[in-house]
Amino acid sequence: MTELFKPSRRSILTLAAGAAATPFAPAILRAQQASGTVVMSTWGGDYAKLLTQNIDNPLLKPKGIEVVQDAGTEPTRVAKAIAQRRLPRGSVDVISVQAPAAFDLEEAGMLEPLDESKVPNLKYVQKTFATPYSIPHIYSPQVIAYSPERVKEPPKSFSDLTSERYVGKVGILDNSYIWVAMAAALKEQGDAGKIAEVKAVMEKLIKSGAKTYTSTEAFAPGIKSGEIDVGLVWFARVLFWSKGGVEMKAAFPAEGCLTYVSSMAVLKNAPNKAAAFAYLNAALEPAAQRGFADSMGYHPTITNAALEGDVAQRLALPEPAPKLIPAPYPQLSAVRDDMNDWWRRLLERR
Amino acid sequence: MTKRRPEGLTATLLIGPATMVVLLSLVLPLALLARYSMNRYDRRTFMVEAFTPENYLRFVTDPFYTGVLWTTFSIAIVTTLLCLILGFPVAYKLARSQSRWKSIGVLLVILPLFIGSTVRALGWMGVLGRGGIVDAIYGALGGSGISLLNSSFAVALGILSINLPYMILTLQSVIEGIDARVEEAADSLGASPPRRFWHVVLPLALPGIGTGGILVFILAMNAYATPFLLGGARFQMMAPMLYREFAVNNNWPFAAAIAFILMLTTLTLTAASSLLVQRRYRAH
Repeated sequence: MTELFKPSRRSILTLAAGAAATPFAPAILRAQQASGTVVMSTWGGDYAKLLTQNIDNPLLKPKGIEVVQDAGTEPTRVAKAIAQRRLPRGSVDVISVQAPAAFDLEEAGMLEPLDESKVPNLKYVQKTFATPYSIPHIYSPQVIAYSPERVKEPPKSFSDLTSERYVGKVGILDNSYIWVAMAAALKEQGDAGKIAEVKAVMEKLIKSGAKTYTSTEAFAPGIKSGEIDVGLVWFARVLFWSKGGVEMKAAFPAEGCLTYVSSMAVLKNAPNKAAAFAYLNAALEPAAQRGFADSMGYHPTITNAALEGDVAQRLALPEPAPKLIPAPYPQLSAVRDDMNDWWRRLLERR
Repeated sequence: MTKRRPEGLTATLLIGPATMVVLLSLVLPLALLARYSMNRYDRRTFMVEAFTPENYLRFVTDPFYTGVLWTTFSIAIVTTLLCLILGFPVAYKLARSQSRWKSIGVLLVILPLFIGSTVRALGWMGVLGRGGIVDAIYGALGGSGISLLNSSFAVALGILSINLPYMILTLQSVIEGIDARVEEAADSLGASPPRRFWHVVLPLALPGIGTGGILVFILAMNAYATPFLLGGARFQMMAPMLYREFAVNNNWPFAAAIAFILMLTTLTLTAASSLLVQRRYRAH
């Protein structure tokens, strides 16, 4: 019996080597496994198409990583991820959501922590947008879109939208009203997080006849037909619509621009984490970032993807650069349900 | 008895698969939905197991939600009545027509059904919206900028245009089943046309009116694309609200409760109206 447990010098050495290697086990595993299939939960349409064109095909395919897209609306995909959270192996590796939703997923304890050992390109991420649980994929500042034909003097700040000049001529996108509320909070309260404090401002806007659009696409015809003159939208949208022939310009509010950030994160129960990290890293490659800037008008989130030529000109931010302000995620998360309910009632009461 | 058993067995075997399909595809999901509606919502964990009536209570005690139900009901009733008033003459004319154009007429009624409600709602947006046809005519007459969208008028018009063919087709088949000689008899006995209509045609068509009415009422109560596109953010009806709670807010328990409230309201009203029609029918 004792013979059986008697440790030999060799076995002790083997054990010691094993113990010493344990901290590096994930890295070794990663080096071995960054291949196979990675499931990407994403929006459909143009975004999904551009992911394939700029990330999947040129950057991951050569590495032997095949990307399968699980396309759908953000709430549906988030619901699916939440429903699967108890499974040891989920069906999704990388989830692509707006930054506020990424914050919620992190709060629910569902996201894999990220660092430079997993995603080396994290070191190039602009500090404003960095989080320990997700990568910022693309961003776009919120601007005041206006019709240059009817608005001779460009608006300078959020307050202009509530002035007499634009009564009944302000357009609000119903699905991003909360971003308008945050812009109001930034200007009126000096803090974009004081969202509930600007209900009166929003109420004034609605009561004075601001138009609400249920689809983002309806904003451009609103400007074109003269139904509205101004409204808060993402800069990328203004670029997209101007490219499509709608007379529209962007003014950057002096108090700063709330900023749309589209995030990517790895779920804790991702079946292929190594490939998921490789995906995130590829998304932060300058070439991939430039591709999105060129086609969709969204800005790169990294410091080493300077734009050139025509794209640089189109996407240029004014001098001095406007202050870019990501949404105050914790405050937003805390009030969003109540705000949504309040907003519905406000609209209904007319 | 022993002789009949194989027959009963055959019948069971024949009904079995269909019953299973209904059970699996309708009853089970509904039971699951009913269970969900008793759960509690939590934004981070999405749905917490519970057994609480609070989702239902939230709906019935809040004037905002009951208001939305009331709006939906009003729109459904108004469009059903309009369908009936506008559809009956067309259905009657088609049913009694001997012309060789009759099939073309029927085809014209069926044709809109080939186009989805979303596409038709988009068509109405082009007619009623800013920069649309109505706006252009109004502008030409000296007015400045008019949009009829985002109003109960636009939604009612949209739903009416979608439901009218269903009403006409239902009524037409029922009127065709009414012997024309009955009307001739009424004529020959000296009844005036209105009298003939009230005392002969209408009572005989009542079951058809009931069926058609119920059909379009249910369609209107559950309309989604039309109120969403033509009503916009400021006009609330049940189906778009249900969808928003379910797919945008991810509040499945509350959405399930709304679904049941909508379903029960529709079923109750439908049952009540068919009872009413049956009673009237028997009385004649």
